Amino acid sequence: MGALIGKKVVQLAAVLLVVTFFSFLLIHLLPGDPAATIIPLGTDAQRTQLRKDVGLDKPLVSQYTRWLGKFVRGDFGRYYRQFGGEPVRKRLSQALPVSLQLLVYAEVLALVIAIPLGILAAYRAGTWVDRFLSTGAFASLAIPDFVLALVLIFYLGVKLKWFPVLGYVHFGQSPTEHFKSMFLPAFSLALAQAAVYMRLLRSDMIATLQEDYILMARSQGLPTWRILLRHALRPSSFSLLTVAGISVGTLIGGAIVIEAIFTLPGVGLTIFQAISERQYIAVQACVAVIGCGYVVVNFVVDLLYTALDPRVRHAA
Amino acid sequence: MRNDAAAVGELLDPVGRSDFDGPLLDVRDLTTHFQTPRGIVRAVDGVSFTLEAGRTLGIVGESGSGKTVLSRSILGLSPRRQLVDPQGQILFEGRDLRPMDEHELREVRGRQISMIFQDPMTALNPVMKVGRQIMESLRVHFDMSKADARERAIDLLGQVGIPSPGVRVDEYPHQLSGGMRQRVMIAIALSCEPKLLIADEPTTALDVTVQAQILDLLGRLQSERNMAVVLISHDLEVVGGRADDIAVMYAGRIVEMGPAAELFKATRMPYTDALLRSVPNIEDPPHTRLLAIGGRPPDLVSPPPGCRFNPRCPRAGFRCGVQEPPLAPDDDNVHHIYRCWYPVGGPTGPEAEAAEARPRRVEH
Repeated sequence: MGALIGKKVVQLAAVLLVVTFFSFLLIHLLPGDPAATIIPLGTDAQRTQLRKDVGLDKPLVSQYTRWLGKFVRGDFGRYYRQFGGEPVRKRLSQALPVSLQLLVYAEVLALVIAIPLGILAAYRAGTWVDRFLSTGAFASLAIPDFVLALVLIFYLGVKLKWFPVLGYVHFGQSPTEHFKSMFLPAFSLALAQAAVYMRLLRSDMIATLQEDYILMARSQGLPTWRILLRHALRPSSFSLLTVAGISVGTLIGGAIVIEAIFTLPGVGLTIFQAISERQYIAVQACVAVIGCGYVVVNFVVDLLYTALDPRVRHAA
Repeated sequence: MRNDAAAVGELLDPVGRSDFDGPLLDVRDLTTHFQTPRGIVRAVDGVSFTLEAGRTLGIVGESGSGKTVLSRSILGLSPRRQLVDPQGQILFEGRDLRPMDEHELREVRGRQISMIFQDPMTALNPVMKVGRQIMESLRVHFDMSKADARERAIDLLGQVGIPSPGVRVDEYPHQLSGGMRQRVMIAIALSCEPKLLIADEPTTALDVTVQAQILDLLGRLQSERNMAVVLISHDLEVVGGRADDIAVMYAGRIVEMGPAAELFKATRMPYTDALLRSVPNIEDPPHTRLLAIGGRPPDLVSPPPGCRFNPRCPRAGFRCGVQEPPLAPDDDNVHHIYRCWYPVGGPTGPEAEAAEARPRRVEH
């Protein structure tokens, strides 16, 4: 068990190095002189300052180690504007909690929708209930999240006025308003995820329900809900867990558009603005943070398998 | 509800119809047909038998003979949606299980009738501790507290011969050997003191050395609890020494049934005879060839006309392919019944028909 985690940690470190290296390289993918691209209208002094900050005059490897050293200490560089510019860290520390909240709400919402419906579809496989749910799942997969977001804004926000159409409210400020402001963006992200999760759980669960131990449980007179929830759900949820981990990436990507639509001041909106303002140092930092977050989440998912399946736990 | 040991003991006493004096299980003309894309599969086709409390009925047959479907039909575990016009009665202590819905059956399953399955590798939930799997039945049927159920689970693990049950109770199935897992399955099945245990090939997946241990354990637990057992196997040897009565199934029907000793001594049905001959005998000289039964069991979508065994039967005559023989008692023993026009011990079909044909043509 300890050895297994040790191995995983080494893997994690290697992947993190690769991810940060490619994030770092982004700045060198810019055509021409990065300093000129980032500060097209500035003075030579400002450009020289940027070259010095980033260390563009040094060899690539030492640039990377220097950048990485700053990155792990939380120094993500700064914005370059006509007059000064704030550190990227300041923006990120405000944006990250918003994005993480959105991510968690969307995942939880997707699972809350998908798990009961997936179980129901599997239990009633082949009946009209199953067909209805499957059709619904395909339909919600086919709707792009930004279209769904606009439709929801129009009906639930503008017409019915149940939810605010944009903006973010701090949890500390008003929990009710906070959840109201987060519901539409989270739901827009969650629906397509829920459809994928439901289909996945359904097919795994159908396979599990064919297992002998389900028959054994039935022959012992256990109630159906108990068989479904206690006996069938856990062995059926391995692929669901894997995909839920991988979808963190999808949700981060989707969140850029959704955050822009709802003007949620998250990492997505920060990237969106940084790109349009050519603040590539900020883009680089955001991409690196998102990449590392994604890798770490999937590392945690890997560890969760051992919690879910005792066979994995004892194999090591 | 009191939660002390005495209360548990009271709970475990057989409840209900101790005044009932008929057979414990009386299956009458049971028919289980399934709708499949290929047509209707006649998996069990008019099977009747009775089983008294504390006795053992062996059911023997090849794979595909319907013995497993029969056992699952008793507890209503066949896929309901595919069932076509289920017929017959399953009288358990005089109550018919056949028309019961899932809710009613749940009271019977595990509590009155339990099952153990062939493969202990797949019949235990891999992600649940074995103790919890035993405790579940106790908690559902007896409403026991967690602590009481756990105590009882450890006790049961000890009864089925698992060493250091207090440790094993917290282990997962994959940490146990095959024989151990089968013992755990028996512990689960017997946790609520059922009056009838259906054991579907309980030892087929186990090593030969472990097989005997498991069967001995079952025998001991059976006599301790005066429990009836339906022992299903493809192996006449397994059933032979343990069952009071044996039913031989072929293509969804019982083709021969009687007291075990009688069946071995005075085999009538050629199929049973062939099964017996396909088992090696310790007294045979070395290199004796075993007799295999030629051909394959019939397709249960369209069973052959006449006697279902006739295409593979070495004794079949003309009549066997036309008219199905009834399940009739033997002349020497009314408890020994079989389906055959030309039983072992008499002339074969062609012989008998030739003798009959001499005075006049075969009548049909």
